[in-house]
Amino acid sequence: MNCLQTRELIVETLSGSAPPNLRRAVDTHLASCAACRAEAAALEETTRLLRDVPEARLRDEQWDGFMAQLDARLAAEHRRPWNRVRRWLRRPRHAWATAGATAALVVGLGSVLLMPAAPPVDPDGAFDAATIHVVKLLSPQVVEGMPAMNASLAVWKVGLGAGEVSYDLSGDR
Amino acid sequence: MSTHAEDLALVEAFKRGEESAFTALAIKYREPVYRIARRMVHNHEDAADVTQEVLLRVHRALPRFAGRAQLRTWLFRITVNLCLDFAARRSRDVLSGVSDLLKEPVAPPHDGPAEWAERRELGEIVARAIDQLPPRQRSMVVLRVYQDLPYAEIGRIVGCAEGTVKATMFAAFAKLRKSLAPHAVGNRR
Repeated sequence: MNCLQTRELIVETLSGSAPPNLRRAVDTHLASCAACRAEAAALEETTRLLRDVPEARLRDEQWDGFMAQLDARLAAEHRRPWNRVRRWLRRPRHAWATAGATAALVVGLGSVLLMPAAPPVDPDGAFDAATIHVVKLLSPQVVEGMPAMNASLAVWKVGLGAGEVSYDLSGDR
Repeated sequence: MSTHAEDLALVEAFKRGEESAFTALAIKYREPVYRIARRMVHNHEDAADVTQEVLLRVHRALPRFAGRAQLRTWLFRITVNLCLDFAARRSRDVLSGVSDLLKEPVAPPHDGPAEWAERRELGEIVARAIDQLPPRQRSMVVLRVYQDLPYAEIGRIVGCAEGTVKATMFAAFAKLRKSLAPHAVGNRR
């Protein structure tokens, strides 16, 4: 162990409790190093000065006042409605129930928003009741464009031979 | 029952809704928290405020405490962070509280008046020396010298590796040695 390592350990052994093997290692080095011995003596004096300062202590009646004040603050926090809800939610069984309810809500909303019934094709732009229900969930720009989209769809179907054309099972027209 | 197991039992009781379990924890830890705060912010009112704030935060967060860390480590981490925030807010008058270090709220020691006066003077000198340290060094010195915590736990509280604590403590003691040298035995006039 070199001097720098020893000096770090001197601080550790002097400033508080340290394992016995650490103290033995320091003592072994100090026995053969005068410079580190001088350093250790100086650091020991520093530690003594630090420890000589009396510990701050409160009297029992001061702690009583402290606890009364803490209780009052906790009671005030307890009464806030949001904190009551938060406490309720944090209880493990409530937390699971809340997570389940939230998941169900998300799935429900998602199915309404993402999987609406397909609007019937109506080239004239007339919508039935189900379409009007879906239209309420769409932006005005999309609603405005719907007749044009329907017209385009009809043209596209005719172009493929799928619109307004009857087929029989033999494949003959 | 070990302190850790005892703390966990109290935490579990609190989670079940026993408010008295929190009171037991508050009584157990209020004094060490106050002492750390007192060493770092230096006056009684501020230290008491910090202690109350620590306990309030613990009360709020205790339902989420999983018990992976020791309660003491977690509590001291909150204390140190609050003290550092407090010191940063009050940095312009950081030394203003030093003269208040040993004032009234502290119970009188068993020394005679002359010894008490001498210890008060030394207290001010040491408080100033500690105050001159950068915040992290200051918190490490307080946790080590006055709470006798091992380097590994100090690392967990301050949020760094044990090796960093070792190097930081070495640097801190070099500064303290220099600041306190005029008051060391043999150097006093």
